[in-house]
Amino acid sequence: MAMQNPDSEAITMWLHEWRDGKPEAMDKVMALVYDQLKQMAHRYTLRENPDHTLNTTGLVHDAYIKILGQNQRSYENRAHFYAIVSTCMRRVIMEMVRSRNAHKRGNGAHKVPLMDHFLISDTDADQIISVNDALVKLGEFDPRLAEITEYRYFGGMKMEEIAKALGCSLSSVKRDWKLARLWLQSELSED
Amino acid sequence: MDKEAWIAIKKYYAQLPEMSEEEQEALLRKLTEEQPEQAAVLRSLISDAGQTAADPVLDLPAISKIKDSDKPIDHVGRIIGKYKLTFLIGIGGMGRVYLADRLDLEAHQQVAIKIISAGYLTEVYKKRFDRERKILSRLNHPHITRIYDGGITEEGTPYIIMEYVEGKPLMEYVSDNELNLEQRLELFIDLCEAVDYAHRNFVMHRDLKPGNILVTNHGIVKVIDFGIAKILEDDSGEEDLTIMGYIPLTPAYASPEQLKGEPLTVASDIFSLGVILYQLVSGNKPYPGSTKSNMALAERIHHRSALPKPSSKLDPNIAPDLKAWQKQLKGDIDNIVLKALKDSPEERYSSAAQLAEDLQRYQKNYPVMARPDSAWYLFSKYARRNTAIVTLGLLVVLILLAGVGATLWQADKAAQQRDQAQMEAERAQEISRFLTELFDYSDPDRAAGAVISSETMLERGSAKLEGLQGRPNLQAEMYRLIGELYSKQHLYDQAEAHLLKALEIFEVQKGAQSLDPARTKLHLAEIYSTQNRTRETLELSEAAANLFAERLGKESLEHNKAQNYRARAEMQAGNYAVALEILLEAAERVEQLDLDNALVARVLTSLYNDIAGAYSGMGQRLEYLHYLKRALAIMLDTEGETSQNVAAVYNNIGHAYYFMAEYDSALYYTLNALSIADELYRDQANDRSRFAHCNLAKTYIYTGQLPQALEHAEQCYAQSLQVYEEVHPFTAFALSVIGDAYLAMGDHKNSESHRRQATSIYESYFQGADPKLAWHYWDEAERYFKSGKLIEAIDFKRRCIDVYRQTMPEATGDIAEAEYILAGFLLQSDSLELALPLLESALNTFEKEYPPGDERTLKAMRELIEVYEQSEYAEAAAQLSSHLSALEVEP
Repeated sequence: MAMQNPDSEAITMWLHEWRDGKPEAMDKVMALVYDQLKQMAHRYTLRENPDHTLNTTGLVHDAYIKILGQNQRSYENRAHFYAIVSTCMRRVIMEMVRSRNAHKRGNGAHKVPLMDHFLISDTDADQIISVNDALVKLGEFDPRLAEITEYRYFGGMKMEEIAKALGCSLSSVKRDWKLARLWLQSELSED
Repeated sequence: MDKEAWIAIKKYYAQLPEMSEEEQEALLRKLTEEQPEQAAVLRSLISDAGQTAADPVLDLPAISKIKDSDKPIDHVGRIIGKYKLTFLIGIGGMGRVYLADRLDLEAHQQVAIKIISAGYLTEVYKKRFDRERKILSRLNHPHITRIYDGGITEEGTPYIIMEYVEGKPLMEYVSDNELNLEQRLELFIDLCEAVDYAHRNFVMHRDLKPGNILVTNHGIVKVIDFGIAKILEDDSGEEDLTIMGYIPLTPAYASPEQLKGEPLTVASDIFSLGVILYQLVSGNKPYPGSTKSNMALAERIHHRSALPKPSSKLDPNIAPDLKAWQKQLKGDIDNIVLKALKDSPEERYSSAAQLAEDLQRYQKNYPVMARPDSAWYLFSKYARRNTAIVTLGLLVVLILLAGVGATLWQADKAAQQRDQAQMEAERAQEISRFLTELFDYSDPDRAAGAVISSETMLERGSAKLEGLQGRPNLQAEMYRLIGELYSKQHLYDQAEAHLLKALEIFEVQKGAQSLDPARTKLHLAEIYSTQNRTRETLELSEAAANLFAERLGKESLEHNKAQNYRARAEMQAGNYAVALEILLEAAERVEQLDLDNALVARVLTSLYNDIAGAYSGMGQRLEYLHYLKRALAIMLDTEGETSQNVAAVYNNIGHAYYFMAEYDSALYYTLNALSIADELYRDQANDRSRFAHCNLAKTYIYTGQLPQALEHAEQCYAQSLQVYEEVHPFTAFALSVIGDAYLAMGDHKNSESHRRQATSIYESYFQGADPKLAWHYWDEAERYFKSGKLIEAIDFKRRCIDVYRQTMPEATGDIAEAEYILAGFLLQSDSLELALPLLESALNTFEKEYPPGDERTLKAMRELIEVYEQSEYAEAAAQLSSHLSALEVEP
């Protein structure tokens, strides 16, 4: 039998604990997922992939398998896990974008550190930052729509997966995403 | 869009799907007049066009916008000073390393040039860089790569010219060459010498890690990048000095003070050496999650939990003989590594030379610095250097250490107990002297090189005890010690005899109320508990618990340990609620103690485990699981994962999930248990694997993976045969699981033949009445019923009830349940008149055993009413019906 990733049972246990009403268990999961994901995200951006439609759902799947192992069969865990990955993903991406901007604003002679270099156009970086800001605003009066957006925009999750993670119907997720998208469009066009 | 408008739109949008097209149109028309903006938004929401128009920002996941940057500058072919860069040999956090040839010499001289990736450099920095690299170039040691020269290129990039070493990074070298522990330590001692040399020249490395340590083809260690980290660091505190780039600190190997950004001393390098040594001897890094993320760092700085010993994190891939390797690590190596890794710099080795020296002492079997000077420890070293009594020696040391540990713990606890602790330490020394004499006599067998079994050794030791009559306290101590040694060897009869003697002498010498008799009683209780001697366990543990409470207080560890055994005895007697109360109270007290103490952790683990057991006995599976997991958490912390206790808990958790019909989780935990057991025992049959295979088989039957089920059932059987005997309930149980697998496959012939074999084993093992036999009959009846063989089902249910009646003085819920089921079988074969008395008897018992209105009672009543009616006992039926309806109304 293939050995599981040593982290996987810890995560499973924490997820169980979390469901049993221990919120602090989630912090532990997040810390672990965040580390893994950060490495993976960087590697993804380093791939020579001219195609912009990078399969991010693939990234989330890979994170799942890498962290929890192939043999993990609990779909309930998987849905929760995807949601956690999305939240972490948002942080990773924002960190990438912000550190880039920090370099840009700093001394013009600066080079980006060798290990962490990645490229993103000014427009794209600004857009990601605006979406993130808009999302913070949206979260203030409609947390559910913000959550769905986070899963979709930062986590790259499919509608079906979002529905599973939230425990609601596919059609209601689709409707909500439409609303969220519209709100974000109107918010972004105001800037 | 403002908030009100948004809320309004959301409301309309939610209403729309319920409206007819006309209603929708009406709403939109009305809205267009009142709030044209909202109407437009709403229209775009419901129109298909709005959906299909792609949004370049929102429709693509954010990460797709981030790509790899252009390749960084390549310096190959460049000329720097007298050198031409020919080949890129490495990329690291600090920059790139090139192979370079000297241009002005005929002789072929190769060097390595490191071009440091840094940002903007100030003039002050450039001066400092020159100063530092000149200091470094003075270092001249066989295990440190030489630095020849250096400078700053035209574009302002610093570079260093150094000795070119052809070699492999440390970890790669040791694994490629499959070095054994001894060889690994040799390399490490060379490394320590190099580090010590540099330290004596006032140069710290600051970034020691396996990647900075190369080993040449000839096996020579070479440390690279000595002091380079310092060069890149700003230590002036002036802002304009700052060079950005980034400090090439490698968190996995960095000391706590380094992570916190505090001033560094050589102790920081010692810490990094400790991490490297950890990895060298165990194959694993001590700190998981060794990425550069801030979160992992913060975790290490703020929530440092006790570091697992290297021996508990041994990677099976590095050790051909896992157990032997683990044994070598346990004790000295563990202690040496952990001393180097102490949180506080003062507690670490004061120099790399000292660390090397301690390892050399270990190699020569001399006592090492990294542990307290207990008499026992010195004795064990002595024994190992001089004799071959290793097996027993180890046991003695184990018990001694436990004793000394307890003593130290007591000493720590309260000032007024210090005197007593002092006395105990002296006592320990006296015993150690005696033991040294005991085992160090000239023995003809030993002279001939024969291996003396530990049992023989104990017998000889025991024979000498008679001669100690003049010194009764020492004699009693020795009886107790030898008793404990016997008990560790599972020789319980001898253990009991010795402990009873010790108890007798202690009670005369020190008085029945003193601590020594209490401790001896606790040991006896442990033995009785192992042997399932419930009454004796209860008696002795209770006595010990009371004595400890009186002398040490109820919060003392020993009192609660005794309570643990008391509760265990209560459980054996079936009094789960009583046991639970004792256990919960004990656990609450122990939780207040210092959980970093290994003894405390062990007692708490045992308490949690037993609490789980009590809940299981009471049928409360969620609580059971909860406490198992609490026990597991402590075990993982103290023992690491590769431990048979952890495997046992995984097994139990898996089993609980199986009963809760959560098969995914059951498989998950059980497979983990199995893989740990495989790792621990390799091909040896063992109880953990047996249990896991059996559980897996049963679970796979439920998930419909029948070939796997059969395979595991057969493995379970094979293991049972090796661990136990042919005629043993576990072997029989494995056979019936094989039977279950065949049954699920529809192969009745094979199923029945295996189950018949199981039945005959059970019958000859129990020789008559035992509840376990009744359970087997019960299950057999169910199996026959499932395969449509009613006659056999009825027969087995009858046998089940017979055995129950013989073993239990009064009718119980179980018997009633069996009668109820049997009645059901009989009704299916139209034997109304046989079913009727059974139902009456079952109902009678249910009413007595369970509260009014219990589902079991109601079920039996309904069934009985029907039988009365069919048998045309109208009156009885009517009477029972009215009784039933009264019950059904009440709740």
